[in-house]
Amino acid sequence: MLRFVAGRLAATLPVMGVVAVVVFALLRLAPGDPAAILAGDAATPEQIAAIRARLGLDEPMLQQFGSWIWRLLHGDLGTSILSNQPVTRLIGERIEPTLALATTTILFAVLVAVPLGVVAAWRHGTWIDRGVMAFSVLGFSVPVFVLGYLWIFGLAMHLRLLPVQGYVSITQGFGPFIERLVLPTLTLSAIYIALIARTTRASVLDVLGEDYIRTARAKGLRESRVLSRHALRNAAVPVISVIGIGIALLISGVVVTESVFNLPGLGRLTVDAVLARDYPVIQGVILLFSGLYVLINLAIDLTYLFFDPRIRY
Amino acid sequence: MRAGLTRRVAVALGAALVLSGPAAAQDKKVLKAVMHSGLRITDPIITTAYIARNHGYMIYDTLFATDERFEIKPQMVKDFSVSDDKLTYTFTLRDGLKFHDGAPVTAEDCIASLQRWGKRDGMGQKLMEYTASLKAVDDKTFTLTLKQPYGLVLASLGKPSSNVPFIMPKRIAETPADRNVPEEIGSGPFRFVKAEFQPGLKVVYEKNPDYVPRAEPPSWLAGGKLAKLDRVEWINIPDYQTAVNALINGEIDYIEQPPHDFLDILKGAKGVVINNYNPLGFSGMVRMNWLNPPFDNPKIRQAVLHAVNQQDYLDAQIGNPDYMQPCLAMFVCGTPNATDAGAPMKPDLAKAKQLLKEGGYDGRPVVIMQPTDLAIVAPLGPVTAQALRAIGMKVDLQSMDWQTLVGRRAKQDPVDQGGWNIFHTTWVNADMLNPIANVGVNAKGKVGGWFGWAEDAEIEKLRDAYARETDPAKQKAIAAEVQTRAYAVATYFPTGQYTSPLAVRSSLKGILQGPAPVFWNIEKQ
Repeated sequence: MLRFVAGRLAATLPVMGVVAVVVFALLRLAPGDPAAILAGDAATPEQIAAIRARLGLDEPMLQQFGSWIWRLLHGDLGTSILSNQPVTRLIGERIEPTLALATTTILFAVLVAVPLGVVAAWRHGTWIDRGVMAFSVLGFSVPVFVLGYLWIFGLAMHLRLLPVQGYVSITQGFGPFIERLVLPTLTLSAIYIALIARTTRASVLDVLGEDYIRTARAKGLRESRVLSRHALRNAAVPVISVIGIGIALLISGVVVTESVFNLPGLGRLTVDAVLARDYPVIQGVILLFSGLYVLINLAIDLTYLFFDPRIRY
Repeated sequence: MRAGLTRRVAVALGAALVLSGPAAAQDKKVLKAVMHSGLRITDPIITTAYIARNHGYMIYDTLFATDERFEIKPQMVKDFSVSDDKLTYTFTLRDGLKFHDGAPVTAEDCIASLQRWGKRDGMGQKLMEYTASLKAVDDKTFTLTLKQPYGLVLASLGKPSSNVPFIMPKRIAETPADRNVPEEIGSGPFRFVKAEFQPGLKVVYEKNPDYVPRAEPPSWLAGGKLAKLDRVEWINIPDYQTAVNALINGEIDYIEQPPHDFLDILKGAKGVVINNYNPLGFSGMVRMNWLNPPFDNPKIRQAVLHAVNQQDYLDAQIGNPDYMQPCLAMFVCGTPNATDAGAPMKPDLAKAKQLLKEGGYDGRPVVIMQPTDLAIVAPLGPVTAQALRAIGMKVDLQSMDWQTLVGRRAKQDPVDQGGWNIFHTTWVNADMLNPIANVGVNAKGKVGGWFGWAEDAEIEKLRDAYARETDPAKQKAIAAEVQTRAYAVATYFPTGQYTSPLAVRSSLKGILQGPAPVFWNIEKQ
């Protein structure tokens, strides 16, 4: 297994290399000029050209790429063109809210969706099953920002139970930290509850038809034990895959939720950097995302070993 | 038992500590504001971005400042004198001026700051063209000696908007003008809290206890800058609906520019008031590219001026008569240089079509760049497009984000090689008050001109005359001539004036009027 893990980790290097080349090339091909943005509205073309030269943006593309890769190999993601801050610092400041929201969302989604999916499969064809499936369709269909505003209107503006927006680091107290994550978590988890519940239902439904389930019931096991120990465990692999993909999507794709609830996460950093053509920040964040995707996929593969001993690497 | 007690005591102490933090924080007067944009660039000289200017007013001070009667008043300067030949200005600084690092403000700091600003700002560059020398006499006195009399010395030093000649320590002001300053040290009423700065997200300022305000009452950007808040936080909330909800809920105190669509909701919200703090407001602009056909032809540029209608732009952009005003004065209605001279008083489609015919318009499509991500600019493009279609022009309205537009408008290439024909933008009117500050009447052409590269020797001659003139009445007459000529050759078309009020909690008192949002004099009750 160690060889498998080492191999997979080594395979991340070419993946990251390809990502680096593609991101660099796409950014340079995209319209927009960070020097013009930096200079502001009243700047003359001559002033913009001077800033471009100072930033090295007038150098040949290959030379710019070489300089960036060289710094990257030395662990330096570069410095933001606009704010003059190191990219690593910017990422460091923004990663906590994103990880916090991803964690609470996925935990809440799993805690709600897996039992719902199991119950729906167990009561297949009944109103419970139809109710869960209807909820899933709703979860898929309602856009995140609509749901977000509805939660804000109900729980924050009308009942005044929770704040509308903002983020408080866990280092400043668990209460304020979790208080500000409730609404974003409720909003963002809807789609993941729908996804995981449907997958769990389908997977458990498949397993419930297996001989060993009939055997377990025949030997007199309680239904709850049949479902939890025999059905769910054997149905776990596809569910884990969906959860893993969900985590990866959460880390990189929560920009709407971050905007609606004013969470200073990586999603907003990425969008802000793209809008401002802040090349070093965009490159750094996308490299980070690609690395995380590879690692999360590796973690998912390793998790299979725990749930399904038949799998060997 | 003992262990249990100890644990209970520890828990109680911990709880007390947790509770005491917020309680202590509540004793401080903290204002949380959502500004029109997140602060990323902290150097108000390298960029003309208004958020950087607003940041500048927080932490820096200026030698002079503009008051509500458009008069230039001493600010850091205690007194000044002008030689009889009007060539030498001598400035003496006030007592007690200190930078946030504790160092006293000296004449050398002022000179270095002005020199750096003079490399970036349009009015600064003009002033430096006329300046023979800037010399320190002693720690608190310096002289500015001109090559020839120049009428805008004080107006330049008291310039209210981007780029404002803020005073920095010499060691920082010596940073090259095309490089961000490495530190944010000023001598203004608030201090920048670097440790809490998160670019694009949050900026924190604390009251500068060492600041010595002037004794005069505050008036716009002049007078006593008395910081009455302990701490000001600028929080960037990208979604205005969220910001509005947060204001109504009392989580924030201040929104700088809520979209006009939200004003009725905010007016009806308990504990929220609307404050139209900036009577000068903003203006929109239609800018044509003189380098590319068909707008290399003055008759076709003139045709556009007769085809467009300010009311259409304002209806599309603002839609609320309380906050908009048609105004053909290029140097802003309600200001000393305001005039209708030379302006096409109303749209005349027949004349526009006639001019188009005389200009030999060949039916080529006009590329209009439309930034869809800027709500205040986005409606202008379709209005122009419709006006041009109405007189028989073909239009290629190209949607893009603002930053793409900003990059593309710098291209002097033909349209088929990435160039363009028309773009729109908006300005803080404080940037448009005279022929030197207003980039729309810059007619220097391809070298030294502003995007669109209008080129007209007569306008440049008049601008130069305006700069040299020291009599305000004569300056006004020259400004009218500049405007007449600018309309005649169609350097740009103003799309009308509008205001963007603040929305604030009613607990805030003492918000000052002015061309930029400032936080001194504000109290939180």
